Amino acid sequence: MGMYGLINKAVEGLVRSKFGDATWDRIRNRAGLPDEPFISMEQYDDKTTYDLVGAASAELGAPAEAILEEFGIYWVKYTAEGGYGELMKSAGKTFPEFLRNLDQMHTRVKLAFPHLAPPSFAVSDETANSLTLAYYSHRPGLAPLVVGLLRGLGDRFQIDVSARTERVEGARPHDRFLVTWRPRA
Amino acid sequence: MTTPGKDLDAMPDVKLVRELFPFCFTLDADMKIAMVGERWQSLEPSVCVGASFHDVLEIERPTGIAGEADIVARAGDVFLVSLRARPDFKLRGQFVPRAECSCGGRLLFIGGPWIRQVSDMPRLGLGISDFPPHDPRGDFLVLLQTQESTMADLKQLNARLRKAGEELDLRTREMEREMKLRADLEAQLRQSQKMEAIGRLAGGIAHDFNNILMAVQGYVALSLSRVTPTDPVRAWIEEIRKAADRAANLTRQLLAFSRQQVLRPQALDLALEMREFEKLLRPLLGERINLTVEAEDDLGFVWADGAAINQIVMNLAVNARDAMPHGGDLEIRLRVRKDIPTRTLREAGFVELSVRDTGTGMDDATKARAFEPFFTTKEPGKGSGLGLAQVYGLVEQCGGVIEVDTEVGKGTTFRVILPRNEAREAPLPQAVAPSAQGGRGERLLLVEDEPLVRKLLEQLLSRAGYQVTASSDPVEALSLVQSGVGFEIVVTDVVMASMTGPELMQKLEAHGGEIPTVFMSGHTEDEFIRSGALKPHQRFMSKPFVPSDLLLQVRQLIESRSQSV
Repeated sequence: MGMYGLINKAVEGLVRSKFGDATWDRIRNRAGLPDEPFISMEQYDDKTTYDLVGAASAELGAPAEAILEEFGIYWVKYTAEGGYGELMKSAGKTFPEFLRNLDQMHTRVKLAFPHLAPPSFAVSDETANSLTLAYYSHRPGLAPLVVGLLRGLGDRFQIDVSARTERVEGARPHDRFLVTWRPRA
Repeated sequence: MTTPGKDLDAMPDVKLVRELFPFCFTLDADMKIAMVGERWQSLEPSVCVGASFHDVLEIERPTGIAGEADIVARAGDVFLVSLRARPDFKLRGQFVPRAECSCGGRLLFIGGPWIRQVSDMPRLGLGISDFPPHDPRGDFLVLLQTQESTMADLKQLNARLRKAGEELDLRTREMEREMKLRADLEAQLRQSQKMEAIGRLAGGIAHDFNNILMAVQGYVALSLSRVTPTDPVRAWIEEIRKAADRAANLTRQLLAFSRQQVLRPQALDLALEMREFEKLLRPLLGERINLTVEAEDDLGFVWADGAAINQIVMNLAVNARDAMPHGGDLEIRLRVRKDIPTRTLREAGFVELSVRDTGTGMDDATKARAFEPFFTTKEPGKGSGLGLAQVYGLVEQCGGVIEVDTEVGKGTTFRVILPRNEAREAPLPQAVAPSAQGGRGERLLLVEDEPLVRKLLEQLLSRAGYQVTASSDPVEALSLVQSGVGFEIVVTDVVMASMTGPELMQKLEAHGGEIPTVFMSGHTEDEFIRSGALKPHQRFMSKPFVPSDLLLQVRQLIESRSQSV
């Protein structure tokens, strides 16, 4: 399975903006990657991204989960500022609307990124300030990233988001997030 | 005709159509809206059941549509319909004529927002969910948007590549410049090492020759003083003298090239020196050479030996003359140069003395060897090949550099660059005219380890009236003085096995005070001699010299001493 360079570019952007160019160089070296720019439309092995996260975790002395969550927050900002802002605007004017359209958005984006293997999202049990989000992914261990995404969307829609993660096993194993929010003070 | 109204909502077919086509509507025979899709209510409430089509909507294309019959006639065509309340909101779709349409009305419009890019959605109050899954326009809009982002990404990448390419070009050019500079420096170093080696060799040979020539010239002088003017042998001796003089001149040039000529540098007004020298130069060049001498104002002084400068200009001028057998222009120009980088902080800058001719010029191979001793392009017997070698050595010895620009058929320019001196006035010459060359019984210590020369000088000085004590060893000479023997003057060789002449004099003077001294050498390795660091009561004579010159120097020193005492 592969990931588009866009993801790795975002990881690079996160490290450079938060920790500086020198830290990025050390992380890249630790991950054994050459000093070359990532290309958004090019496919990279999933291992590249996992190695980067592992190297960042070692270099920054933070658990991989924290790195993934931080990346989730950054990803919302990165895509909104990095040329996908209009698309995100079209995905919804509110937090729950956005989450409802997220799956459809990924499906449509696949037209442009034919090798994209995006996760699936399903919204249920929606109330005025809560919902349940089911997250189905081929890739293991990325639930903290979704928590980061939800928090990043909270920033986007000016709300404080809390999410409780549950692992659901069975015929279709997935992660389930019990999401609540309230307007930001 | 079907009755329009809320009852339609209950019909399953109508519900399905309204969900699938959220922007649909139907028209009845009098062009009134009979049913609307579910999106109209929130988007534009004026589009509602019962409203007149022409009041709320307008068909932009096809043109010339007046009523139901026209629409039916163009059924199947693409229609562009705009909202009267919001002219920028357009629908794209088609009318489906249905005589018995379960949706109510006779014409069903199926279509969706006419939109070109995702960024228009917020302005129009739309979102991606307004394009139902069966509507591929939503996908195409997303595709366009992502491709636009990709294009922006590629443009950014392209800009980075271009910048990297420019940097690479710049670095390549810098590297090329550095490589050329390094190659030039290496070539200069090789040339300098070669010249140094040749110089050492030439200097060594000249030294040995000078001692021999000293003896030859000395005995010739003694012989000439003994033979009568009518003696037929006198003419032969004169020929020997001339030959020895020529040989002495050659060795002098060799010594100059090897930077072992003794110089007496001083603050020199180069412009004045050149104006004086011009008078001597003109007759030498002949009438076919047009000589101009130009000097910048405020040229200042250089620290150099005047005789060496004249020798440099003379050799360059003679070379220029020989390069212009049919005549031409010879230009000597003096100017201040402050654009020369130097490792030391030299605010005074440099003075450039350029000698430019319009002669034959040199090819690269000739230019590369121009300063080598004995290299000449002149016919055999016309040139020794030592002129430019001598120039090279003298310039270096004056602390300067020499550059040459030349082009075959165009001419040659030699540029001698000398350190400028801060002095404001040239020193006044100090000379004491001797009353006579002969001695008056003064005690003279002669120290010379070369038997041929020692014997000659002992005879010469004794005959001239001095009381000569000759020694072959400086240590012996030193003990002689330390035992109490006094001398009015010392004549000593410089380079000797047990002790050098200057070392001997240092010890002698430490014992008994200053003694007028004449140093002589055929080879001036000693830095104190070459740098001209002689004290006022000391002289240096370069071997070979004619006996009368030595007698003159000895006499001058003795008389200066007696005047100052």
